[in-house]
Amino acid sequence: MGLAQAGDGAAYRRLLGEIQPWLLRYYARRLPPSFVDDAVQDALVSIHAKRHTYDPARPFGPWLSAVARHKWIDRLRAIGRNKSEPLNEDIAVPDHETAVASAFVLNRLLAGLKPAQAEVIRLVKLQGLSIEEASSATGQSASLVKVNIHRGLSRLSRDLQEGSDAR
Amino acid sequence: MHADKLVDRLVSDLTPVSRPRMWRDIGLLILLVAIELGLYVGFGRVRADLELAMAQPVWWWKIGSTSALAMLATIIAVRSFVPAQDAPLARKSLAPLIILVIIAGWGINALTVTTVPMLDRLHWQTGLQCIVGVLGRSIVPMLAIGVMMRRGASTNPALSANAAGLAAAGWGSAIFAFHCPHDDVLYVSVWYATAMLLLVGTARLVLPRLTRW
Repeated sequence: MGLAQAGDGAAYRRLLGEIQPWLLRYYARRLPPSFVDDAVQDALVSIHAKRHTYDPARPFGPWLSAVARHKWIDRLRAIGRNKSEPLNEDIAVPDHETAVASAFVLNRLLAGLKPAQAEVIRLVKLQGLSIEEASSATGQSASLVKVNIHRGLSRLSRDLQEGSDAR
Repeated sequence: MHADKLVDRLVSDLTPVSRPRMWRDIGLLILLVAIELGLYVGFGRVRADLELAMAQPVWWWKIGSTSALAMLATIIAVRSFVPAQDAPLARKSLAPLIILVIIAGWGINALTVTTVPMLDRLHWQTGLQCIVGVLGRSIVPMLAIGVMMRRGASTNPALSANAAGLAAAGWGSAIFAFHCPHDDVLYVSVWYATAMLLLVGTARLVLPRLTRW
């Protein structure tokens, strides 16, 4: 530190490199893990800003400990001031159960149709495309799209009817 | 920011700094107080009967006690501005010094023959002016010691601020003692002590907020 006070950059880099793990251990024993890195960096900045208060005639350890301890107390005060509240796990959100169940049932019903029928029903009835757009998207003629939708829907209603009769 | 990047920045920001010189700082403060006192004397702001007063023990008690308190508090304060450089001997000496001052004052008071009632001895109106006088004369030492505290690295801001306040109040009282025409121990004890307590309280409130780490 004496050399660093005289402006020796290499000595200062070595010093900070040696201090860093010591600070890491110091704060790891005293602070929650999420605060340790910030506390180390804060202490390094303070050591830099107050390096002129170190007297080279005296041992460096007590000076460093005093600075580290002061920053630790500062950090504890800051933690006390900005207490973090744990989030409530029972956050009220809309119930998606019905929508999810409906999508699941619809997928199973469509899977029972011919692929050409299921495809055009998805495009026209679920995604809102026009007959012409569905025709160009699938390569089916417009009249075939209409026929497949009609037959597919008839099949779906029949399947649903049979399902409810069976229950 | 990653700690290694921070180290790079700190190294690139490195400039030579002067090392702490406690006695130089104390000497500078005393010099400042001496200049302030010199200016008051130079502008004739001292009591007219100063020579006569200096022949009385109460005047030396006034000057001696305020200066001793100021000096001790200055040592405690300046030492506390440097991490790991406490002044335990000075701190432990403070209470005995205050007791000594009280005993000496009580002794001098016992030797004084007076028939004036106690409340009249306080001279309320001039007493309040006395407080203002001490506060005014403490501004310069308070500013000087405040700058030292801000520049330093006090790890116990409460102790530093109390000591700084007492030091400034002590120096201010010592300077004011050259102006104050009252030589009654009771008067000095009450009004000087009130002014000192006010200054210590103010320093305790203000100085820790000015400290920058």
